[in-house]
Amino acid sequence: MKKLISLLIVTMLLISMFVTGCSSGDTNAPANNANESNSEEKSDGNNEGKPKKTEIVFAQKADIVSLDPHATNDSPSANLTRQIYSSLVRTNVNMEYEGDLAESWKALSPTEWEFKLRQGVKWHDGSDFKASDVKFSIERQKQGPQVKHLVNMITEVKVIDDYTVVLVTDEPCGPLLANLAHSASRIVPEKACTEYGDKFAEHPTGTGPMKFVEWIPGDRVVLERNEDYFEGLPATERLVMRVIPEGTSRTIALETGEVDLILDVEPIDKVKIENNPDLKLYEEMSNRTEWLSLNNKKAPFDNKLVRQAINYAIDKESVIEVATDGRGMVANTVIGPTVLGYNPNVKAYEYNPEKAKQLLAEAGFPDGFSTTLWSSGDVRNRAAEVIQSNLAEVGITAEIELMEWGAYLDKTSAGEHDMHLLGWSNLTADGDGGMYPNFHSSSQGASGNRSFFENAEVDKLLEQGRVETDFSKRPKYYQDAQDIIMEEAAMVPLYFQPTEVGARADLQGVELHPGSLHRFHMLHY
Amino acid sequence: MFKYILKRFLMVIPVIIGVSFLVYFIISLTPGDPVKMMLGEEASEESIQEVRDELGLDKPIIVQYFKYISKLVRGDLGVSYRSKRPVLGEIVARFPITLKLTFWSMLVAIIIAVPLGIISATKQYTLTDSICSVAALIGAAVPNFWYGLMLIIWFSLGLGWFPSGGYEGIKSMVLPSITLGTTAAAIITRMTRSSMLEVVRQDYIRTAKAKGVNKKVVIRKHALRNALIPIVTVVGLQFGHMLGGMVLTETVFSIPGMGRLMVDSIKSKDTPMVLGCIITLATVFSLVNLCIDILYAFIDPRIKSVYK
Repeated sequence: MKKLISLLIVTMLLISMFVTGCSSGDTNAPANNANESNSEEKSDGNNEGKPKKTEIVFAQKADIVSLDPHATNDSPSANLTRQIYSSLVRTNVNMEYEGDLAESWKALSPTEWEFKLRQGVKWHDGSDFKASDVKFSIERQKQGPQVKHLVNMITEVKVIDDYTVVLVTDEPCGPLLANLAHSASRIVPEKACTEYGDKFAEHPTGTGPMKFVEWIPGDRVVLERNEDYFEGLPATERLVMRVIPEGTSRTIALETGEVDLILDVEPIDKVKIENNPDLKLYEEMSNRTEWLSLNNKKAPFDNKLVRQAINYAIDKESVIEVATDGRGMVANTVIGPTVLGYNPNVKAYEYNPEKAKQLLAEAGFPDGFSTTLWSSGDVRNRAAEVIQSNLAEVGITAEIELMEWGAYLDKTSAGEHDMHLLGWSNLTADGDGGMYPNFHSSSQGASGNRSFFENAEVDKLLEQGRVETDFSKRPKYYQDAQDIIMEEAAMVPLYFQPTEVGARADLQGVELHPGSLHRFHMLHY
Repeated sequence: MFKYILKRFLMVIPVIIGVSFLVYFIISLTPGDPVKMMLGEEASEESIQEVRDELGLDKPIIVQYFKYISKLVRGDLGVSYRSKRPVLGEIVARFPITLKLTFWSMLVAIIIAVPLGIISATKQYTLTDSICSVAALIGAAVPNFWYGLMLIIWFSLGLGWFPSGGYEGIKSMVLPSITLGTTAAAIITRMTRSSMLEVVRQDYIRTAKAKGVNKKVVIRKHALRNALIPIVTVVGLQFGHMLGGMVLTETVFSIPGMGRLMVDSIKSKDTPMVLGCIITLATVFSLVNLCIDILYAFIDPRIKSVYK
């Protein structure tokens, strides 16, 4: 027996040595360091009179995919690359364009745009930012399948001198600025990119307010401030992004003070944050619209009267109440008030089941019909239940089918659905970004138009909007297109979704961007 | 004995081939296109086709699979579709975390379960036995996900003793280890109890008692050692079960282990990464089973003669 016990102890020790041996490499050491500095600072932050907490930790639900802005187009990654890199232009929190690396810009002709660049900007490795980097970046972006659609219309980048570039587009491009302000249209250094080649993502070098320190996959990304940032010294000394996949765990980490700010706040946790005096919920209307998509190619949804009936049948207030805990704004049209081209006067469909029944009868369905309603994701699944009961009231039996996300995207882009729930985050905040992919006949399927809507007039308006470079004239095209889309009842816009951030009440410098393009370099205590 | 171990080692190879074959085909059968998920909602049909060509996804599944296997035998697990990073590097970074957590959880489980099981068995049908049995039943029935959150609420939010999540040294391992450990403990307790009960009824135990051997010594030396074989077996199985079922605990406690890596990869249909994770798990599971088998020989010398 003694032999056995000693054998067990030896085995356990060997295993524990192996286990600790494996993880004491580069994965663990920085984590421990981070822990030390974090806990020290935490105690500082909690005690009055002591030095302020200088490390700001924010949490999001998923890890980044890559720190190369041209290699991915997912929002968790963009939340980090936005702090590290700059673009030529960007949108501010009021959704106005402002220069980032460009100081000024003007159109030389409808297809030629001149950008004057900031002088004296340094890359994080200390080298100078020049016009050649802009040319290199745009050409590099055109090679990235995830991000090339944003710059595909740029046929040439002419470097006039070190601080002037001219972008030439194949035809006049209205949303050019919007596309250049997109999260993925980042300017990267030619020298570092060429030097590191495929490994550039491991050595992210930008001109933004924060510099890359380390990435521990699945756990955290650590950034520190760029002392030479061209807009002045960032207030945040150290910025840490932690991955906390579970919504409740994210909120608890905020409550305990382990993190200072959380993205992706779960609907049920919002009230909890609002009721906690130590915490604050920031809420702002975003560029995202959620909708019920109707397959215009399939019977009976190929009948305009049926589509209109469904629009009347759905009680959007209840959908918002159930799906998002009342956080959202009833959508009167397909793009929201923060997007260029929003039409406030479009004919909206009020909740009117009687009218819906009448239209259904007119369409030849006095007793309704049976159909399916697809959904994926908790919030949408809850919305589906409300919609199902709304439709039942007017005689339409909709069977809900819940699907895994990958299969959902695949099958809806193939047009196999009757009705499905989806939405669109308009990152560029330009009507083109929200409407061309979703309503132009050439975008049917995977590109966005999963309603398979087709209307020659809308196509024409969207094309005109795309080539119109005069910002005072652009909204009109999108507003007119919305009139037609809503009259045709291409889909059922449900609600405009707010963007939320939960933070410690004493955290300063929180500013929400309607496109969820939040910048975090001014966070401090 | 050595020959036996070698033979068992070699058996891991067909296991890996079988598992990888199954997984490869099952993933290819599930709906959803990895490229569409990779490129996002805004990508054009043309870009999608381009990437599909680049990854060789246009070729028949069987061709893709043989390509994968021919790389695998050279030790190349491939590159993740999503992050473009080598699969092996990612697993090397994240598997030790899962292994470490499994190890600590097992330790928690054994420390709780074996004594409880013994007490239950020696005091059969007493109040103590009932309490232990009910506790074990609750432990087995409570879902990890909920239990983990409750622990976080009590010990992190309420008392502030432990971090609510993350992977920062030994302190952050406490709550997840307890979460996982107690569930496994419940099952091991039941097994210890029934195994002990069977042994204490044997004649040799009665003989030992009749000889006047101290009761504690009887339990420890005569009963427990003979009852150990099923206990060790269930511990081994639980170990494998924990490794594979780590994902919920890793999610609740935001631990960057392999369970989460695997589930994220399955969601994004990142086939090379899924296969890498599953092959690692299958290998470790096979090795743990081997260790258990070897341990049998030490526990019960009679078994040694069977290993040839």
